[in-house]
Amino acid sequence: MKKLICFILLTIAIVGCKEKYDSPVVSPTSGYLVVEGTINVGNVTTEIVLKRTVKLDNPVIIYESGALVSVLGEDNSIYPLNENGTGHYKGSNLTLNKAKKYKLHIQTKDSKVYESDYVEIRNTPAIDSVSKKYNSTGLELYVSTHDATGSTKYYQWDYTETWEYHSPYKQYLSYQQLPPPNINKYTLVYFDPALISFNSAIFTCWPTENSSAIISGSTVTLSDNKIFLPITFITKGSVKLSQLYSINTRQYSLSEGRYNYLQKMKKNTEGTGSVFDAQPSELVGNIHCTTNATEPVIGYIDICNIQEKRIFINNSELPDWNYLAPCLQTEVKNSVDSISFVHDRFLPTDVAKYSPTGLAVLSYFFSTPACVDCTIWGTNKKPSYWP
Amino acid sequence: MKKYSIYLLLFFSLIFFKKGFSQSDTATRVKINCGKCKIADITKQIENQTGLHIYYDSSLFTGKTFTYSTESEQLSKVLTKLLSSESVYYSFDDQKNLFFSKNKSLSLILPESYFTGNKTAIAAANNNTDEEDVSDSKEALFDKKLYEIGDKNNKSQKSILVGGVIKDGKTGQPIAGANVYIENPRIGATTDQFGSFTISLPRGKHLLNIQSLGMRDIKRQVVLYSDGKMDVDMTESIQSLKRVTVSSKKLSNIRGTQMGVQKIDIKTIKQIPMLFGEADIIRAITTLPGVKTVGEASTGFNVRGGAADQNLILFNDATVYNPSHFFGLFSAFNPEVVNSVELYKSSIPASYGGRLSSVLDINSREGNKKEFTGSAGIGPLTSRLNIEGPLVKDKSSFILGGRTTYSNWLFKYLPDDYKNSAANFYDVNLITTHELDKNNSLYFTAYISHDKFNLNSDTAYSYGNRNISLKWKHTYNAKLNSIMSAGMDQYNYEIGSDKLPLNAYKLAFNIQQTNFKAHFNYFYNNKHSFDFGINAVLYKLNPGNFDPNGPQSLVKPDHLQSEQGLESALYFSDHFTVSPKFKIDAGIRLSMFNAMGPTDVNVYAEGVPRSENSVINTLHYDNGKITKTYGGPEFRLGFRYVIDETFSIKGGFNTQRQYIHSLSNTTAMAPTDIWKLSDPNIKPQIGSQFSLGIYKNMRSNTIETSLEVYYKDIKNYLDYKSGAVLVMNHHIETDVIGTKGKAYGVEMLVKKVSGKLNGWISYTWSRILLQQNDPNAGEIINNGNPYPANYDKPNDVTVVSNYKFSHRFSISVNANYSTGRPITLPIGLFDYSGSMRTLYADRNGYRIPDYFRADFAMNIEGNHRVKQLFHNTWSIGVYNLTGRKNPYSVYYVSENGHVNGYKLSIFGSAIPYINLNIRFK
Repeated sequence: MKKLICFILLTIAIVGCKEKYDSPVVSPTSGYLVVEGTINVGNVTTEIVLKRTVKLDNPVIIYESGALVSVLGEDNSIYPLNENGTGHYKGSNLTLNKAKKYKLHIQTKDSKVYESDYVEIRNTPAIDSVSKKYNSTGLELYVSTHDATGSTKYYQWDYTETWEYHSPYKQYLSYQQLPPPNINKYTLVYFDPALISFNSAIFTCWPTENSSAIISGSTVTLSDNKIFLPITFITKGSVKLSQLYSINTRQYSLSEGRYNYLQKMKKNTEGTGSVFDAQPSELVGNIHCTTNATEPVIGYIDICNIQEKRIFINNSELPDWNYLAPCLQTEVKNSVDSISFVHDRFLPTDVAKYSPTGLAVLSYFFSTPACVDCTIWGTNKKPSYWP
Repeated sequence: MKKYSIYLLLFFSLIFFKKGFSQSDTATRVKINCGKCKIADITKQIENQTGLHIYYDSSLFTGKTFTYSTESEQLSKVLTKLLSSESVYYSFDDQKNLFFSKNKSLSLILPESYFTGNKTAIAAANNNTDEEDVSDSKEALFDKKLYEIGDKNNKSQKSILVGGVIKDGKTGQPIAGANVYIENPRIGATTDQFGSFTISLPRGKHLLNIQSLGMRDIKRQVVLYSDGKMDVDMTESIQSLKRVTVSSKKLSNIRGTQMGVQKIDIKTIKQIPMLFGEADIIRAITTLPGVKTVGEASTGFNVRGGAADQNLILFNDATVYNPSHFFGLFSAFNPEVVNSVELYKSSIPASYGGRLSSVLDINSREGNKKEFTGSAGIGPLTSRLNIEGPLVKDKSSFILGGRTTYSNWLFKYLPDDYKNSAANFYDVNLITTHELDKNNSLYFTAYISHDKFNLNSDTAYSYGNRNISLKWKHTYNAKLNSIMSAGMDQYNYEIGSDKLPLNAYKLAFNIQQTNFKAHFNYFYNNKHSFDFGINAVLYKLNPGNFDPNGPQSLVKPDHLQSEQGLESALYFSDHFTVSPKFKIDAGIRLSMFNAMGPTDVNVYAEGVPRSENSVINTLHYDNGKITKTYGGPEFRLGFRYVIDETFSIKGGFNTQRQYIHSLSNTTAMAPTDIWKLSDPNIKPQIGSQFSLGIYKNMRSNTIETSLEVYYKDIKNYLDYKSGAVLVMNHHIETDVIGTKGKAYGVEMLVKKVSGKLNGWISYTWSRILLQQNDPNAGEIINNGNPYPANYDKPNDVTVVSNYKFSHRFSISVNANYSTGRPITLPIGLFDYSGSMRTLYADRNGYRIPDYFRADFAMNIEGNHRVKQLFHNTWSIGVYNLTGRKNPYSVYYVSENGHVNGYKLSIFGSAIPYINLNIRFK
């Protein structure tokens, strides 16, 4: 519908049917508790993250630390989760009894108690495949799975993308500060006087990104418990596929309640307000504040084993990907003043011009750090799974 | 001094002489001897005897012969005797000239006392001096003619029934809603949709007044002897430049019993500037007090705090479920075939039922019974063509109208994002009328509308209305007539997607109703007139069929069980004239709804929220088996008390029941809304309304003002649980909750009905609050406190104005201001699953910014030569003149991990348009 409206506006040479809106709402200061995570019964570590809601004009993440978090069984078994990193509560290899139900128990540092309903343990089927479809606009990745037992009807996925990144410019030179009495004066030195090797530590890196959307699906309306859904789309020319790309997809089996909860959350934030979308709704999960029953708590706890699948895609598999780094080099005169002047903003890459005799350097190339130093984008430590 | 005296004397004598001359002229006795002679023979005799020169148009007396003899009679008496029967006037000037004239501007020879209480009529006639309109003077002739009705020898009958049909003299089309009345005593009647009226008058002489919106007022001198018939042709009123219409009889708003009835004729609708120049009935309706829309992309409208599904929209008695095209940018009614639009918002007649808020009764025109004519229109997005004409001259006629859009070409010029889009719609109307004989007429209406669009997304939508109805009007006698009608109405939509072959689907919905109505009108006497009848509607719904689309699709076919129900009603109402000043309309409607099988009905545990888990049993019912019966009396009560000629008070109390509900958790009336019949788990909505209004006309009734207040109570209005799933839900009753509602408001209207500048200003203050505080319903909304419905817009001001510079050029400006509608706003943010997400506050706790829009239009008509084959009308205008970006909605989206708020405006700028209309013969 939005498209239609925009179309009509376009036909009469008008744009801007959508504008920024500043809310008149003054939100509460303390914030409400947000509980994120899934209790995992497989060999992946269970991680529950506690956060607080924040004001609309302050989109920061505030973690809730100092809480006592544990998983309680119907059989009175207790599995404590320990804070490992602010707001991150972890426990590995929880040996839960599949025949029993468990709940999450949280006591925050202000002595409020939050508890989830008792939840049964779900079994997640394995991911069948993560496949790709390449067309003129880009690369779409799909996940497919099936549950022969038919017990899992609702799924959630998230993923971590990692890609090999090469800096557009190799760094053959580096700054060297001139000794006193010079103040903030720099000259350049060769990384390798033979100009053969370069600073490889900042040339190859592995940036990583986590999914930021709620991806869920259900086989309820499908006849044979098979599901095939797009999980992400990479626009053609994206840096992610400039060399080698890898995606690790995690699959969770959901209860109907959590699926509906995520659907609501998704509707609320990923697509409300266009003319025919549903109205935003209140979120009521399965976690409650037992100290103050009216206090909203955000989150829905499920227990399952997590299934993972990693695939690699090489740039060579995608003809005409046409990655083009958004980078330029600047030529700077070989003088201490010039070099010192650009020192704060640019990194040197290579020699630009020699004197006619070839003995003296007349100028150097410089570029922005983002185009020279790959560690700005990601770690330069090769991941263990990388080929 | 003496010299001066002579001059003075001369001066005075001159005056006296002149005056004396005239007086002596009429007093002059003449001798006439004439047996079957022509007017020329008589004038010659007069000229010879008096020395006067007589001037006249001989065509006035074509074929007329006079037999008149007198030895000596005053000239004035001679002239009166000769001319009065021909409705010809005479006058003198001071040059010894005598004029015979059919023109009113000359002095009347008929004594004023000839008709009692007719002073204003004469004043009105005298005011027409500037008018040199042929039809006007012809009408003046009829005005003065004396019509004899009935058998002169029948002297026993005291009270005489006069019936008849009021028609447009030019096209032969009946005029609905015309007032027929006499002044003294005050007795009146109104024509029905077929132009028929019945009035009971005392024996003797009367001046019968006939008035209708947009038509020239008509007066008929009648002498009644016994029951009889009188048909009248009216002519269109063309407002001339200097004409001042002075009339004490424009009293329909003062005298009608019904309150909260708004009637707009199509001419007024066409004057209101509209988007892309398309005259739009629904949008015109929303300029009236008490009628609102949630925004520009919705033709669904809200009347007095009612939801969009609480309006019964009738097109020639056929129910239209989706009155919009193109997402509501255009209404689905072709303005070229529409005659009048009536909106009942408080006193709903007992003959209508089934919806809580209002009845929008759209009546089509009848085709021209005299000649073939047509019209065509070209606009930026749509074009239309209409043809009409007689099937049998003066007996039957047809009108065929169609509209379509050719907007697809525009997509080619758009950015790639829209290249594969398509959107089109059409609608076709066919209306035929056949007069079998004087007492029997048949009316046939067929209507189809269809919309299809696909906005480059993978989803294609289509929807359409189909209606067919046959009506038979039968007059038993002057007192009793009936209208029987039968018809089928259908609405369907389909959504389909084939982007992902494995998931390709088709979702179809349809509703079909078969209806039968028998309506009787019995004119008992001047005090009582009864309406009674029966209605029956059989509904069949397919609430959703979800099927695979394509061979690869793994979509599991899913069909919601069909629904069936019978709504029937029996009604009786009395229009009781207690006294000429006090009138009562009292009606009762007994309505009943039977939900019927074949169906499986879930039985839910008592006292716990309905959910899939609380189903304790599922009962199966066979085809036709009644699963649940709802029903009860609905009361319709209205009164009118006239304080004086220009001032009246009206009030009403009304109850309504609604057995069909539309389910939508969008604010707009979306094509994908689902309709649901009441069943054992979904109770009917019940509404009651009290209303009171005062009506005052000013400046010789050229300004009408009204003030109405109302209070409404609504039960079982359906709202949704948070995140309800409405599409393909096998147990929808678990996702909806019944709420209590109350609505109240004040509506003010000032309307200038005639003159160069005409239009209206309306102001409405109103609230609609819902409440859900029953913990067993499954969800308490806003802690059980009342919350505004999402179409609650407390303040609303609308100005509609039209200024006529000439017959051919007019300018219209309208403006609308209203409070922004409520929305549910976010109160906080939280990070979840890698993105910032929003936490929402109370339902409908905040409002979007206020709405303001002004539109401007110029209407230019080509020349008015009657003989010309083509008549062109241009309409040029600007929609949203100030270019204000009125937000339709405010929403928050998570984009790259940030939550951003946006305002969405449907029309973010001024939109110029041009539209050409061609009428041809």
